[in-house]
Amino acid sequence: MSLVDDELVSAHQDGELTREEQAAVSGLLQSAPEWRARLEDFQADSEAFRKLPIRELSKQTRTRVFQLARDDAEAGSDRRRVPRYKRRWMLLAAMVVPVAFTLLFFEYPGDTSRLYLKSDDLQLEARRTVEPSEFVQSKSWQSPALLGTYQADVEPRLMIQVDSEEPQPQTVQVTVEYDFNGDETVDRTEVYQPCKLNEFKGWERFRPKLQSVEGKFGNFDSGTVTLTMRAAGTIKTSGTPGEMVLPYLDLRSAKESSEHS
Amino acid sequence: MQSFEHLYNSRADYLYFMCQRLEESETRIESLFFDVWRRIHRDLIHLGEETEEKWLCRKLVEAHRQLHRRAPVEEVSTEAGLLAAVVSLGLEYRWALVLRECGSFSYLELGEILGVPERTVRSRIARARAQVRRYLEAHE
Repeated sequence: MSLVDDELVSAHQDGELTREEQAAVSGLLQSAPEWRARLEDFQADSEAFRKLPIRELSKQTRTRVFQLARDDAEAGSDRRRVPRYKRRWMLLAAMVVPVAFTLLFFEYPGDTSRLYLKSDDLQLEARRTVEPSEFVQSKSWQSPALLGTYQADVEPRLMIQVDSEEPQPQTVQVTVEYDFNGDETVDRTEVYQPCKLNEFKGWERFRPKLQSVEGKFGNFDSGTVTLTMRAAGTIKTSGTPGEMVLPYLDLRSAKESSEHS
Repeated sequence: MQSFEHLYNSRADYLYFMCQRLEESETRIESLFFDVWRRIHRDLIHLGEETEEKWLCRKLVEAHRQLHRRAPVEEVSTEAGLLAAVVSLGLEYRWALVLRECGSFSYLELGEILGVPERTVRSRIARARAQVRRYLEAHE
């Protein structure tokens, strides 16, 4: 019999066929003697296998198992609760992820540019401030000086991840300011629609749409992007609280670019 | 969390039975049994993430794989008999067949234990059964 036939007979024996397969196999078992014989052989082998003699466990084996467990514990095997294969993967991931992240961000000129909000990383420098405004709290992130060519066919996008630190719902609103040439004047301002946070504990992700825009995009020439998140109550943000997709080709750090050249 | 002693008292016979279906020689059965309990002792903190029986069988498979890496079987058995036929199977086929026959797991559960799709489990069990049959017919 072919492997496919064996697979059907075997799965029939285990009651693991789909309804359609079951109907087809039942018909074959009635009409084809070789299928019936095969099933009987498989069933007999299974039955015999389960009935093979079993040796009893001895008390000495138990003593040995507990002794080995004690020895392992004393030898500090508790430190190895994460299995070795997992530790290898974790180590590999720890090495690969930052490299891939950097390459994606800085080395692929064709890739749509993204800025990641980080508390203290190269993508955006943290500049958390509390502004004396009507808002209870605001947090800002500013990029390092950037170089990049505007790409008109890409829409800017924003994703943020925040949570309310208060037991009642509240609102967060994001404003993004662009200074394209680093002269500390704002050339473009984007205000995104407010995001309503629920009162439950846990990160909430939003992709707010643009509410209003002032100014036009231009090429980055040692310019910066500043994102400000304002809330009517206290909020908390995670280690990577958001991501922006910017319509720029080959967006890169001006400082690193000058170092390379 | 269950204590190691309680787990041993309730599950030692079951795992010893499984070891006797995965290996043939007494030495290897004992080695596998000790290895799996050492592994269980080390990873006991993770018990509870899935059903106890599935978790134990996963540990059994891990220990068995490790045993074969550390001490591979150098000579293929030529003895007649059903257990010799099963032990002659490759590890992936042996695990699928033994856990199905002795553990009564569904194909879906076996897939979760072995980390393969359900369809692969079905194919491995069928191949294992066919190979056992060929072995038995050749040694009749």
